[in-house]
Amino acid sequence: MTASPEDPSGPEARCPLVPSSVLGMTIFVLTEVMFFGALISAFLIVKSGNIMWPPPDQPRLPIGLTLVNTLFLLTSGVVVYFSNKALTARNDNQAKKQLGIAIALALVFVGIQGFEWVRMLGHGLTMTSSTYGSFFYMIIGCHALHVFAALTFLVRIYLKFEIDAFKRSGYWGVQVFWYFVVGVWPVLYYLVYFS
Amino acid sequence: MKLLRIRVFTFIALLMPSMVAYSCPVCFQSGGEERWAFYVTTAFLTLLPISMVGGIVLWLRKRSLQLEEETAE
Repeated sequence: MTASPEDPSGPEARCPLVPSSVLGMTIFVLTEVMFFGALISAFLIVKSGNIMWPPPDQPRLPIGLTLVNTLFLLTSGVVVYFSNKALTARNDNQAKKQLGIAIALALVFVGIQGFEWVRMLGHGLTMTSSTYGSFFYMIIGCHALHVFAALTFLVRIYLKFEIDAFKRSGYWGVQVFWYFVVGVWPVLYYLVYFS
Repeated sequence: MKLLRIRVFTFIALLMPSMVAYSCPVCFQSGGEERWAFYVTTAFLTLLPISMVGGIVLWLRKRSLQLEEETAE
């Protein structure tokens, strides 16, 4: 995917429209959107087929605590955005600091999710306890897996900052993934927790 | 030829005791609300990839025009 501005002085200069990392990650994110779209569709169909949803014998999901957790994740997304702005302004130290804050917020999100899961399992909500439990762990679990993967990428970028082996285009690609993970969460939270 | 006949009869015999297979909840329990959810999600999953690919194409075209303008300046 390149533009080819005419240059009579030499061979045709090829300038990429978007960095390969960003385009590649965007295409990957599109497949992920379809994946979550399929999960949500299955969930909505099964939910509409049940008169009582959530099932009366199943524990209720912790809406309040997850709302606080949602704020941590959304803040993390905003901080990554400002980190990129600092990077564009050539303020590398500020960008690194903000990336560190974003990673810390994401870790808090993962930690609270883990704590919630342990509590839910303790209350009897498991993958096999009901369709409700299956969908909860499938949808929220897949998202948690994505958060973990994106977090690994962010930590890798942070470590590259440390050893001065950092590439801006690499960071942009990771940002696309992180924005997807942050952006899809409120949709999942609303559909699963408020159903 | 005899072997073929045996195979065909065996295949038909195996088909006869099989039960009806349901592929999804909508096939055996299609109430009003559930059918509506099925239609909506089908439309959603059909339009989603088209709109996403369209969005990417428009974004690349916008970016291309932007680069052309920058090169012309």
